[in-house]
Amino acid sequence: LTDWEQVRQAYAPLVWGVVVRILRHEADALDCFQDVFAEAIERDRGAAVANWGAVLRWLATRRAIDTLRRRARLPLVGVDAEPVGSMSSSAEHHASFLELVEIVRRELAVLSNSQAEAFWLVCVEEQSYDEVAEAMGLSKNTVGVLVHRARQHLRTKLKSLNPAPSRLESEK
Amino acid sequence: VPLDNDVNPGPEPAGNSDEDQLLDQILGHLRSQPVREMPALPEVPGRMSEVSRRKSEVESGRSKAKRGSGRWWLAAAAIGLAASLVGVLIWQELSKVRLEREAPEVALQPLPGGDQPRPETDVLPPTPEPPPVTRLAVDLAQPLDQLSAGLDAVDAEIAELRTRAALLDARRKADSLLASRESQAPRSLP
Repeated sequence: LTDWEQVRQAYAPLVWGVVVRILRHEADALDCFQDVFAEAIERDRGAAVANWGAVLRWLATRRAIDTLRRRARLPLVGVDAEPVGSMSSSAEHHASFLELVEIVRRELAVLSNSQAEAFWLVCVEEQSYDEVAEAMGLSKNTVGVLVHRARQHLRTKLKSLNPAPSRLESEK
Repeated sequence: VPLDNDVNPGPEPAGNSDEDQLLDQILGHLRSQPVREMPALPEVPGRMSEVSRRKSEVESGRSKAKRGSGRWWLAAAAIGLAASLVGVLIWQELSKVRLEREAPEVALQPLPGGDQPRPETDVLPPTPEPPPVTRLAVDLAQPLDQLSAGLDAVDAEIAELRTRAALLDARRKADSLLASRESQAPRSLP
């Protein structure tokens, strides 16, 4: 029998970090956090889970992207914006970069569920292909294909925005 | 002969384009962005499991209620279908019985004048066939006959009562006349 209080204490920061990184909104993140553990308990009744860390990270990513997708249909209200500061030259570049970050975050809602989840887990959460494949119940090759397609989509999106080279240089 | 790749490097390998680098920077930013501390949840033992248990109970209750209502609908539909079938069968039986009842009545109803004996020495031309009896006439013939018979009986009773009343009146007159004569006669007799 799983000791859920222990699991919560062990993995709560991990789950919280994932949902906050994706959502950037505390209320939504709290809802997501609760849903993740509720779903995990439900899954625990079905079959034994070997790696709670990977599974919880995947559930958190999935729930947060679902919330992001629902939020994408609504006007952007109440989302925490990062402080821009005074509009000096470097600040302008920084603001443009943050805008691109926000675009990439929103594009997660455009991707398919599996692509967005695999991409986030591999590229942002830095999970191995094996861990992601095990948590999502897919093969390692499938995860690789999903990540590749997601990267391709985001690359195309960034290319269509035609970012100025100076923006890139300033971030370097 | 080794090729001089520095002169014409060709297309960039995947992952080295500007967009790739920008994407990697964005991903690095997403990885390193500060995360606010998780708000302190109430330290109640088993809170999470309690919340999830209640949530799952509510969800299972909803699904059970849905399944239950579905079963009720099916049962109600089956009962309605059976009741309608029984109703149709009963209606068919009743209509059969009614037809069987009505048919002999029409056949057995005597036609007016049809059973009257005719004298053998009848020289008159045969009477024309009576018009076909309509169903209304058949229905009304019997009550009318009963009514006329009852009226005849009442008339006979009235005539008998009148006769009795006349006899009683005559007897009363005779009695009164006899009494008056007896009172007027001389009382010489002892």
